[in-house]
Amino acid sequence: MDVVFAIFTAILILGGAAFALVAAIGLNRFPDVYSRMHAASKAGTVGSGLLLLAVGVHSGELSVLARALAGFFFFVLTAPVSAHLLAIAALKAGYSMSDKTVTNEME
Amino acid sequence: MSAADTILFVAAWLGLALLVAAFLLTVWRVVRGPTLPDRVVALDMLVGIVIGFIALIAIRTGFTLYIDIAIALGLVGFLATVAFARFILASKGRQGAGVYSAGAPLQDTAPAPDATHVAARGARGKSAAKSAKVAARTSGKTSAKKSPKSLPASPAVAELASVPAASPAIAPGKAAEEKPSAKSIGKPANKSASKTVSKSTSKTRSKSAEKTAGKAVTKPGKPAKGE
Repeated sequence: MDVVFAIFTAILILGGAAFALVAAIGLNRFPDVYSRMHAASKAGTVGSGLLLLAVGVHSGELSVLARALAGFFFFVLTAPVSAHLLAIAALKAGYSMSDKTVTNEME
Repeated sequence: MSAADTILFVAAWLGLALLVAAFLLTVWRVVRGPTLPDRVVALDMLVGIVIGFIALIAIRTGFTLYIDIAIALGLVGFLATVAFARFILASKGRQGAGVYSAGAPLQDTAPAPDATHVAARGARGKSAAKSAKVAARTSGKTSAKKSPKSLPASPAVAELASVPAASPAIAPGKAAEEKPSAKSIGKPANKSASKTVSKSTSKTRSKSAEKTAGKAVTKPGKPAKGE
């Protein structure tokens, strides 16, 4: 049983770290702010959330798992809000999009 | 050390290694990011990665209290991002030339319509760069006055006006560096310029292409100034 929990925790750890790494790569590869936000706010949030869940599963206590879930929920709730605020601010401030942008709905 | 402990040990170390790589990449974006929003996005991401670090440390040490610290850090990161967004919004009037014309081009491959970035890059490192920067900083208004004058001179403007536009921040710098070339380049030069631009669509960015584009292409971006 211990081994099962350990394997599950290990999967969560590696998955979360991999999501964080993918987000960082996307942050460096995407052409402009608006597309970089996708990597940072989606993959980044899932990465840190999975790591928090790993702590909850590893501890084996319900209270810790509940706190970890609350933290994950909180991150999932706040990430799109902050990303949206930032995108609107950047757009209103006049930061241009990449040339590869196909359409700009805000014009 | 039981099998479970071994699995956890290895996974935690691997996770730490991956997180370190992600952290360094994100720091690289913070350092390099050409614009302020880029840096803010990267800082936001940095908070997420640090939360991951804290979680891994919690697993390795067994102190589950770290979860609360991680949640608190997430709250602080969210508030910081919101504050930065407000700051970007508030500083939109005086964001000036420092952000774009002095910064690096936005992307690694420069397709055709983006004459502005090519122009900005082509001008940099030349003698014109200095005067362009100074002019861009000091005179937002004067360059705005100048641009309509030189507008009618360029026939290519009309067709390129629909190009996905330059940010207003770029325009002053462009207008400034345009001055020297405006007189010397006649109509034929403009046409050839638009050709070179369309050539540069293919991802080749030989320096010569950049230079010619940098000289001649400055015009198309100008109508964007009027927006």
